[in-house]
Amino acid sequence: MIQKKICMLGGFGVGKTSLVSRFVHSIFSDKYLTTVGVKIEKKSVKLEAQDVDLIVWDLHGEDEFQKLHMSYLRGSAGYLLVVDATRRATLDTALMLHAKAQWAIGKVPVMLVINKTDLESTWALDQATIDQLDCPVVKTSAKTGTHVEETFTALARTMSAG
Amino acid sequence: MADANAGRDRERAGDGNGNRHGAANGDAADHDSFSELRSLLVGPERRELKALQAQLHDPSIQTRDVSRVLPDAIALRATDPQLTKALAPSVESAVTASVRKDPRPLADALFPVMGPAIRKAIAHALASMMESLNRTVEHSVSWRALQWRWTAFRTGKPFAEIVLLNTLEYRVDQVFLIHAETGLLLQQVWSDAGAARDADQVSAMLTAIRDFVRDSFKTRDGDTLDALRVGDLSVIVEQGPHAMLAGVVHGTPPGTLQDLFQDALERIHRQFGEELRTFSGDAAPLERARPIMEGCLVTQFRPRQQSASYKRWAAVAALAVVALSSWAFFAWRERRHWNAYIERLRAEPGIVVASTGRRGGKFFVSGLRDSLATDPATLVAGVGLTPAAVDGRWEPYQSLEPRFVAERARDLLRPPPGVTLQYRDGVLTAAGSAPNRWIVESERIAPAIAGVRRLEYAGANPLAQLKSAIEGLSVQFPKGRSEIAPDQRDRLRKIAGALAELNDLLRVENRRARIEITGHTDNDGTDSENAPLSHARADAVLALIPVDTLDALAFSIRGVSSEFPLTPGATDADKQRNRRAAFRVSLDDAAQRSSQP
Repeated sequence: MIQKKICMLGGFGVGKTSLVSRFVHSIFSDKYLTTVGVKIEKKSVKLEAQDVDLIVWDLHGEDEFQKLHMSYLRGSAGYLLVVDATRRATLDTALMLHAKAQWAIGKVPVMLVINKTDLESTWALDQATIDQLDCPVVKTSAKTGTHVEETFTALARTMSAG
Repeated sequence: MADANAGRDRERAGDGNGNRHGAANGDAADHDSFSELRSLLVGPERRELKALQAQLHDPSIQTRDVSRVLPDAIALRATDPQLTKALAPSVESAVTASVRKDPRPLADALFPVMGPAIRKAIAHALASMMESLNRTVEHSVSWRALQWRWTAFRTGKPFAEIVLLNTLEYRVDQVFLIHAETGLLLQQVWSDAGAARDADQVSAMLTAIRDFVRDSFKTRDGDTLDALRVGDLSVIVEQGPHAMLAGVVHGTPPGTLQDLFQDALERIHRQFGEELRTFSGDAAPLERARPIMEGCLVTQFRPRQQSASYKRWAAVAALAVVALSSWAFFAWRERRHWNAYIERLRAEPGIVVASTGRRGGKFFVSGLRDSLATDPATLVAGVGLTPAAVDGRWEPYQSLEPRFVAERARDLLRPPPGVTLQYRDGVLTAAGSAPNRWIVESERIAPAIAGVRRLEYAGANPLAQLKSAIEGLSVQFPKGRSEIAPDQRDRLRKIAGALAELNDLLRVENRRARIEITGHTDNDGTDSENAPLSHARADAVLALIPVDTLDALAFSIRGVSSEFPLTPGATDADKQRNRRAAFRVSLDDAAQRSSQP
């Protein structure tokens, strides 16, 4: 069994925890997010070659009250940048976190997750902005579960290939 | 190379300006000369070259050559990890194939190693089991265990947990080997307490907490989290360059435990440094680190406080043994004394033992006892028993023991001094000088004594003696007279006394006798004169005898004149002796007695 550490990064309230809560297993409660700043979860994905256990570090969304512990990123084989499609500012936060992560751990597989696709009518992101991003983009809905499973599988496949 | 030279030769042979045919013959001659020259100059080298070419293309020769240098080459690189890494897959495959083919050779080869290892493991397991068993037994029967059971009942916790909390110094329940950079779980070992659920998440969280502490408190470089403690649970963390070793400890870990973890982590880095450096998610190569980690699963119980308790229990047990032994000894001795007492009782004349046993903590005996037998209570002390320990119930009876019969006869018959009584086979024998009356009365009474059929007197019959004595007495008369002379009155009283004694004896025996008083004269005078005189003399004697008091005697008188003289009567003295009144006693026999009213 192969293990990989991945991180979930994103601004406060973008739905990182909601995004994965239906698809991962965790023995820790959400209060760890606001105390230690991270919650550990586990997601098993099946790839063609072998199964991979993703140890997901769900990092607390950075805001004016709490900064991201950069040391949590160390050793991460990849990460997901989560954006709330209904809030434009969350994309800026994600890009800032992306830069920080690259500075901390270098270039590792990353995917931009645009969450809340079920609220497409209230989107604040236009396609042109999305197309300018230099990483794979996936649109998900934590509410409906759309593309969530595929997101983890895709990241795992990218990490295994790398 | 030969082909290349041949090619070049061909090129040279084809070189010219179109006049190839004309020069052909001359060239052939040159070629032969050149070949000869070349053969002379480089012939040996060409042969060596051919041999080398053949050697290069012959695998068997190459194998032989490599085999010559292979041992030295391996020895030269023995410490090179690259060689180990290169050989490992082949060796593993070879061992696997060998075991699949026939496991016996490998088993035989490993036997000297596996045997001691297995014995050591079994000994360790047995020692642990014995320790556990000792503690279980100790904690099952002690006063402290009762308190713990009460605590378990009161708190609802399992008894084993209460025991553990009170006896365990510390125990390493789990050990995690965690990749330092990623926080991924590399290996995990655990004790009997069981493995942690989702250990991979636990190790990641431990790493996160480590980072959190380091970030939050801005510790100096090199300082890191090395312990967590929550209640009775501790997590000790030993940090290494590529991995950290974390142990979950129940109880209070000593400082030496950290040293143990540090040593284990150093060994892991030493043996698996390359695997740790190149770790990319596959922890399988690090499975071989598990034995090192298992060395950290140590358990330490508190020093036994039972030493004092144990000694106390041992003292109590020793006292119990002494008390039990003493009790057994005294019980055995008392039982022996009791048996001796019963034997004494059985051997004692006049005592019959009917039943024995114990009742109410005391010995009990019942039976029959002659009043003349020894008092059983006096025998108790003689065998070492205390009278209070024995309860005796004795019913009276009369024993036929000869000495008891004789003693009872003495009490009843009261023999006069000088008379002895002996009993044998139902006959009581009296010996010595005894009054006739006592003899007669004793003969009558003796059969009433239990066991006595009759009494036999060893001397003469008293009635016969008395009869003889009376018949030997007579009353003398003066010549021609029938009155009792005064000098005869004493004799007459003596005769009356003898008759009275005879009468008494006869009455005792319920018998009777006839007393005939016969009057006699001397031979002077005629029969007509002497006959009435002799009768008168008998009558005179009878008149002086108190016949009314002698109811067992019947008196009669008669005169026989001078018909039965005592002497011939030639002299006066003889005649005086013949003038008399004599007595004749006739005793009734037993048959006549019984028929009389």
